[in-house]
Amino acid sequence: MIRSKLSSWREYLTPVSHKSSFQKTGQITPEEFVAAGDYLVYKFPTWSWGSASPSKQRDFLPANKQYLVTKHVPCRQRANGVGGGLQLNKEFEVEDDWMVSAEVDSPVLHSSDVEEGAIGDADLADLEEADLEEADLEGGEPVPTGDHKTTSEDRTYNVFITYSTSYRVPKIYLSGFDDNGAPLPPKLMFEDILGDYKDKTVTIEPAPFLDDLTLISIHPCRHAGVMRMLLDKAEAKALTEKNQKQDDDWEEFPAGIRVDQYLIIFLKFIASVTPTIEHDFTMTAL
Amino acid sequence: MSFTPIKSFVDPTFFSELAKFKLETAKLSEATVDISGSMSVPVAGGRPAALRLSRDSFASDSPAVSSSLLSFDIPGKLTNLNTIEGFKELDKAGLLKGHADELISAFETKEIFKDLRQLLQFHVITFSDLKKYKYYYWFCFPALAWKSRARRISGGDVHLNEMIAKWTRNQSQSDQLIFIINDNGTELLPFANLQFSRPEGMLKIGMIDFASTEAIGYPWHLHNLVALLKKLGFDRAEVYIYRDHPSQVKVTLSSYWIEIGLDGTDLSNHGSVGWERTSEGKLMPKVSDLAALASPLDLASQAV
Repeated sequence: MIRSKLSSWREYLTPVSHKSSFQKTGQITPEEFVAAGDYLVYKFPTWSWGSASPSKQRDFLPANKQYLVTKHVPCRQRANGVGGGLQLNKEFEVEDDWMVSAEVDSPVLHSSDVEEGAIGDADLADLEEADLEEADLEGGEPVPTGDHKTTSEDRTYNVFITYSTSYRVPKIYLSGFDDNGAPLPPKLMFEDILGDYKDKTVTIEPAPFLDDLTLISIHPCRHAGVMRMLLDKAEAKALTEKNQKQDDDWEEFPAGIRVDQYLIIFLKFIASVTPTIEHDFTMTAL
Repeated sequence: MSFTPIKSFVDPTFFSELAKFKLETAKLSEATVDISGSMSVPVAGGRPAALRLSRDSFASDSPAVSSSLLSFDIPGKLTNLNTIEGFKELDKAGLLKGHADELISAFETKEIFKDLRQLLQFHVITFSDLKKYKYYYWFCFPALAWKSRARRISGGDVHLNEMIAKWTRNQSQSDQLIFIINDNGTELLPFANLQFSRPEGMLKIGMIDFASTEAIGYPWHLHNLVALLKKLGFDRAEVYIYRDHPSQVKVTLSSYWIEIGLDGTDLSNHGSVGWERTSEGKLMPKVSDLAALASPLDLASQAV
């Protein structure tokens, strides 16, 4: 708790830099965050900008562009059910060293520390009223969800992206819902984070932009390094393709990766941490 | 004819606001109050329409015009019970029937034309165990059940989709939801015009479906719309089921025309449906245990 407070003071106290350095450091300025967010929203209308609660406004961002959000994206299975999940590594040939292996200066939750707190379904069964409704006069019982079969594995997530001033990178927050549309407790949300990260870089935090909302977050301490590497790789790839396709009408990347494409690459990185949360509708953008 | 039921999603912020409402406003009162929810089209294909409740559900000033189908405001009611016994014993069939009767009477008094979103209302009953941060809740989406025939007559129409997309940006939410399409499909008109004039040929109307692309069933509020059409004296109508999608793909393929025949429909002895089933298809409430999300003590103990 104290560390969490410390980290939010730190977030408050760290001066905001406006000097662009994303190609060298992987970090972005608030202006670049807004530009990258605008591009994301334009390319993928499943994302939108949100306004913060009045007490949580951050003045270096426009009032109506405090964070990015996409709501109720599907998550059909748990992360540990996916073999490897690090397709990203393969694609970009990123070295292994971007996984956090040292201590992290923030409250870090070890999944083993969380007590099992079963949701009391036992007394719920009591509340069933099976004969409450006669079948729909037309066509018997309502189909549960059209052609989409729901299973208890079937979760959805609200995904938020904010700007972290202490690390000068985007920061991801997740809010999960179970198959019934009820909020998931953190311990269950951890199941959707790939094992290697779950134990090291995932924290439970109050949302910095809305009151009374507690979320889980992927700690951004190493984001900049990863992003720098991914940007390098993506740029190299784009340049190679550009050279190969010189005859074609190729206008996508005049001078490598633009900063407004930053979040699209960032989301690919996040997809490697949460491989089963299907927020990545960005595969066609790069 | 089968319908895709609406699926409820409740943000943690709704429950914290509900706790505040119970402690500061309602206290021991179990009176039903007005709230609102936001209807949205799920981003993934083949999913039912999603009704989302959050802290904003308690705000009295809901925006009058929404610029997108991503969040469409729906009026609703909340009844918070003081005890789990009260929750259990509440006459749920009676509550549903009450809403069905109200709808019929709104048809008769033409009150329905003032806000067509009444065709898509919800009622949620809750019991909040504040000590344990445990919330029991059950949604009802009241729908009149009737017998009639419907068949799909053709698929989406690009020109019409474009017109409707434009319409939904410029009209009040009530008018966006259901509207008239003129004979040659060149103009959209407010549904309320039916009070004053009737089309010479077949009645053609359009309605928004909040289910995502590829969902099979009809929109839930078509239940009530068809009953309204019958009440207005129509025996036949063509209905365009319009589906938008946040990513703006597959819209053309997913919108479609149906023809409904109402000549055999008898509303005098209507049934009603609407209590939400769980993901297992059971008629029972849902429960949300927010101890780990809401209690400061728990948070402290988890922060190593």
